[in-house]
This record gives sequence, C-alpha cells and structure tokens, in this order.
Amino acid sequence: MHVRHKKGFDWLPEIKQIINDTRAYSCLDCGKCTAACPISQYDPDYSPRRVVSNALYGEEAQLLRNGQLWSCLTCSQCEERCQSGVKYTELIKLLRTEAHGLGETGQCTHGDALQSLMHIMTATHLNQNRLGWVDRSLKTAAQGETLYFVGCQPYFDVLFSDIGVKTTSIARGAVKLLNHLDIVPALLPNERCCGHDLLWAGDMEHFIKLAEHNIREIKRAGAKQVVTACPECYLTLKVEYPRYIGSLGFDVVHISQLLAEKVASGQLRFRRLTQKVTYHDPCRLGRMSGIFDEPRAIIGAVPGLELVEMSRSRKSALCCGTQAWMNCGAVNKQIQAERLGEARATKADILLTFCPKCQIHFRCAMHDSRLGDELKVEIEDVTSLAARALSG
Amino acid sequence: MTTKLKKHQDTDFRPRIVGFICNWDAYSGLEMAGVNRKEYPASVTLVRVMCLGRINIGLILKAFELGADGVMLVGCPPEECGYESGMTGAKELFAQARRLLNLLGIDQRRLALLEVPLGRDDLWCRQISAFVKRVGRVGSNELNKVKSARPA
Repeated sequence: MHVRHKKGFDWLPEIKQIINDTRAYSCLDCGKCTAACPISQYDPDYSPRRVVSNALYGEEAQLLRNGQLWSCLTCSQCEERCQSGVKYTELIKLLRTEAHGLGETGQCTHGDALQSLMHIMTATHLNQNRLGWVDRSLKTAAQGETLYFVGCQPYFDVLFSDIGVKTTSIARGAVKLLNHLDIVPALLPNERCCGHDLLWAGDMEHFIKLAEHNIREIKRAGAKQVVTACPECYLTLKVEYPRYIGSLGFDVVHISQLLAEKVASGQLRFRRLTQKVTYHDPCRLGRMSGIFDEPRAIIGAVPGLELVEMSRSRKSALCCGTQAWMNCGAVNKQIQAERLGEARATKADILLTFCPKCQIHFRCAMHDSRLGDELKVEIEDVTSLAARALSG
Repeated sequence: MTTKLKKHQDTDFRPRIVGFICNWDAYSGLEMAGVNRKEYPASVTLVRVMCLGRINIGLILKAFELGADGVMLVGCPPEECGYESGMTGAKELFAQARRLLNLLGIDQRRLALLEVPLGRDDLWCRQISAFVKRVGRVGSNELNKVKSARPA
C-alpha cells in the first residue's frame, strides 16, 4: 500500500513497531481480508482492511479509540487469505495492548464476570476448590511427569449452567483417557486461568501474573509434559508463555496430538459407535496451531463413526463467533447461526468440536428464542466422545 | 466501582461491605431507619438499584475483586416484587455466586441475600448488623490478605 501520510505526520513509535512486527506495511489493499472476515459480512462498519490502512496512515484515534478494534474475532481467517503475509491477528493483539494502555476496552459480555474471575485469579495465595469434578474412578496425582492442565471448565459449568454447559465432562474424559493409556496425570489444585482472554484483550499486566503463577506451579509439580484439552490453553502455554515469559522447561501438547499418536501406534482402540458426526475446527487449534488431522484421526479410529465435513472446514472453517468474552451481540449470533446451519446441513447426529468455548458459544446461540429449533444440534467435545468410546 | 476500596488496618478490623439494595421495599427499610434514628454499622457501602433482579454475577465478583470483605444483596419479599420475578432471579444469582466463590476459595459467608419488607427498619438494622458481625468473624477478604502479605 502506498503510504500517503499527512504532511508533517509521524507514527507513534509503538505503532510503527507494530506495523514492522506484523508486516502490515506489505498490505496491497486488495481487501481479501474484509471479504473473508465473518464479522464484516454482517457488520458493514467493521473491516480488517480499514484497520490496516488506519495503522499505515497513522489514524491513531480511528485505530485505538474506535470500539471496532474489539470486535475482531481473532479467528485468523483474514490472515489465511492474505497473500502479503500480514499477521493480522497479531496486529489486533498488539493494537489492543496499546489501546488498553490508553484505558480503552471492549464491551465485556456477561457483566464483566469472566474478567473479574481472571483478575481475582491473579491473587498469589488463592486456595481454590476447583477439583470437585475429579471422581473416584479417576486416578490423579499431585506430582508427576505428565500434568493435565484443566483450564477454566469448573468455572464455566457454574457460569453457564443455565444453557446446559457441562465442560467438566471434557476434563473427566481427558483424565479417563490418560488413565486408560497408563498415565496418572498430575493436577494443580491452584491452577489459574491461562490468561488467553486477558492477553487478547490487551491486558498484559494481569496476563503476565497468571502466566508466571501457572509456570511456577507446573514446575513445582515436577511436570515435563503438560497436556491440555483446551485449544486456547494450548496456544497460550505453548506459544505465548515462552514468548512473554521465557523458556518453560516443559513441553506442551494438546490432547488430540497425544491421542492421535496412540491411535496410530495401536495403543488406543475404541468400541463401535454407530453415529454420523461432523467436526468444527476451533480457530486456536486449526488455523493457529495447524492441528487439523489429529482430531480427524481420532474420530476416524472409532469404528462405525461416519465423519461428514461441513461446507467450510479445516483452514476455511467458520469461527464459533465470539472471542475473549467481548463485544458479543447480534452480529456474533448471526455467525453462530450460520455455522450451526452448516452443521445441520450435513445431517450429522452430533456436532463435534475440540474447544470448550466453541461449545459454550454454540449452546448459547441455540438458546435463541426466535431461531431456537432451527439451530438445535447435539454438541460434544471430541475428548468426551473418545472417552465414551473407550472399550471396557 | 473502578477505584479500589480503602485498605483497612488488620489490628482494628472493620469489614468493608458492599450492599446492592432494591429501590423499593428494601430501601424503604433503610429510610425508615434514618427517620427513626436507628443505628446500623457504618461500614456498609450501598449501591441502590431499581430491582435486585437487575444485579448480575459480574457486579458481585467485581466487588470482591476490588477488595470488599462482604457483599450483601438486599431485596424485597418475593411476593411484593414490583417486577414480579426480581427476587426469583436474585435467588438464582445468589446460588450461582456462592458456587463461584466456593470454587475461588472465597468464604461463602461473605455473601448474603437479605429480605426487608416495606418500611421495616427494625429488620433492616438487625439483619445488616448480623451480617457485618458475621463478616467480621470471617475476617479480611482472602484477596486482601494476600496483598497485605506481600510487600508492595
């Protein structure tokens, strides 16, 4: 893009750095990002291309003070399409950090409750009771080489009980699967939120506190490998922690990688389940971590299970419609309705996903009083499905 | 709600309480207490709302995040709710908030749901004093303790 900046104009050094770091300067102004953006499709006021051009033309007020900055789903669909390699999601993340520094913030859905939860979790000596979901059939430990990083599932189940959310079944399923593979995972009684949503809302201060706490606790538990069943925890622990905190000293894997490996080696076998399913790729697991095949390998390993792909899958998969518990409204609902429509069009019995939040957002959309029945579809996490399909 | 509540001295512990109070029956109890010059603990900061059904979980958590030692939801008898279902909603919210506090390791006794019928200053004073006393026994907010334990 030719930069026709105003006479005497100069960028803020921070914005200049962000433009350099995210290759925003190489934007060709082709508009593919906006054409691909799920938000732009329903909200004409939002355009990824405009965000990039505002950054390049130094329109700081438009860039940082405009509420639209917080609407981006950071689903990286635009990044996937961009032929100039502009790191669009990174651009949004860094701009939000700048805007947060100016006191700007998105509109927090759920009355700020999740943000408060995350802030409370930064307190150093919190004594949480977050392991109530661990029943007697599950073998867990306080210390161990393999640690299962649960995520905020226990909190989600309380906050979203009204829409039938039971994400701790994912956690139970994960431990059951690990036990089946002769792994007794360590659990942290005082694990904190991974901080994903604070990071993507530009709140670096609280994110760092959560990250430091989690790293310290994981190291204290003697873990060499951290397994998680949440794509956001995975991406944050694997990529963002080393980036902002430094080398971790432990390895991070998503449970799909572990399970797919055990399926390939023949250590993991499933019983027959005669059902037709479709799979929704979560942004953090698919486009952002490149994990497309592992979930499909697990689904494929269950005899009798028929996988039907939706019209948009893998790199083109539509986002579940909400991010970081912010700016959720009519536009997001339309995206969710669109995705659920795609799932229903496959005539699958179950819509599978691998992210507790995708599940929450879809379940919320299905509770729409007007669209209601048009969107209903059974949702299950692949972890829960795999645990259900364990033989014996 | 954006400023931090003042830190108290541990030696002379006076709990900082945030109360969300319904504008109608419940608030009239408070007004009557004023009219009749009745005493109740001064450590209560009240936020008047049009109905307790308007409160959401975020407000309760925010109060604790900012350092409140206790949060009380003061509503009206359910059958007298001018909006019909205000107290029903508040009861659900209260149960949900208690479960969240338990998960977080914040003492559940720090949260109370109280009912004050129209003009009952005696009930207002008694319930509020009892709650302040209860929070006083529980002590300082778990999050505050942490902050004071760590030198700034």
